[in-house]
Amino acid sequence: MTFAQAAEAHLDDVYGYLAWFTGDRAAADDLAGETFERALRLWHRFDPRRGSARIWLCQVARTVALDHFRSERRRTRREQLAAVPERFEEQFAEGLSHDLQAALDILTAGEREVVALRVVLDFDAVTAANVLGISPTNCTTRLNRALKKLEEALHVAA
Amino acid sequence: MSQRDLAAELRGARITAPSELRLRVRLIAAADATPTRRFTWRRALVVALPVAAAIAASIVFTRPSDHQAVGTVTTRQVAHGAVHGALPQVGKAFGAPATADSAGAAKL
Repeated sequence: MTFAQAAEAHLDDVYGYLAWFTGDRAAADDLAGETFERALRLWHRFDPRRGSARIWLCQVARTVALDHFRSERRRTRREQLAAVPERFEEQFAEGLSHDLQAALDILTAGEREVVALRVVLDFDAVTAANVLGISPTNCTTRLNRALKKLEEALHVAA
Repeated sequence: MSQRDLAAELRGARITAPSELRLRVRLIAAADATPTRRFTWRRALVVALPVAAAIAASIVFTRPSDHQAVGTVTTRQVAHGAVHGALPQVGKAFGAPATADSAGAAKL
């Protein structure tokens, strides 16, 4: 598989993952571009025997997103701005009910990330844990916690 | 809402990349279209080792063995003797002096 084929096949997955992770589609747009630029430079290191291109690209995307968060925190501290509460973008995705959209607002970025990997992209526990750099048990715990929070928020909304 | 329904709704939510992003990524990917020759030590070894082995094998298998070397010397000696044995005969045929003394006596 060439890089161009991998990029075309998995762009939506990478973009979706970044959108879930950041809660901001505009940021996801920028980060997705950076992800594929970095992935092209690292493409010679990709080994299909170790995993699919989809997983590998998500790993690169995660690194790009974390670098972005770190630099944003540094920038915010430097400019001494008031901390802006993390807010999940409204109308985040098509097909989500209004209540679920609102409920997603209570999740942290880490919780949204595990939901994106395990539920939206349908990675298994081991693969998602690999991308996150945590154990499969930890990954499952985070997912359960996130889903429980959503359940409770939807129950309250109802 | 059960967790299963929740998961189903989350999974069904569509997030597709905007067309501008898709175009940008295609341009990025196009940079990979031109093949570039990259030298790596690993590639060099993959090529060099079989070549070296082939050269070594050709040297080993074409070099004459000891038995063959003796036979070659013997043949050479015979050939040498035959050549030098024939030379006096050739000299005689053209009237060349057999020895230096007879050559001196003939002048006087």
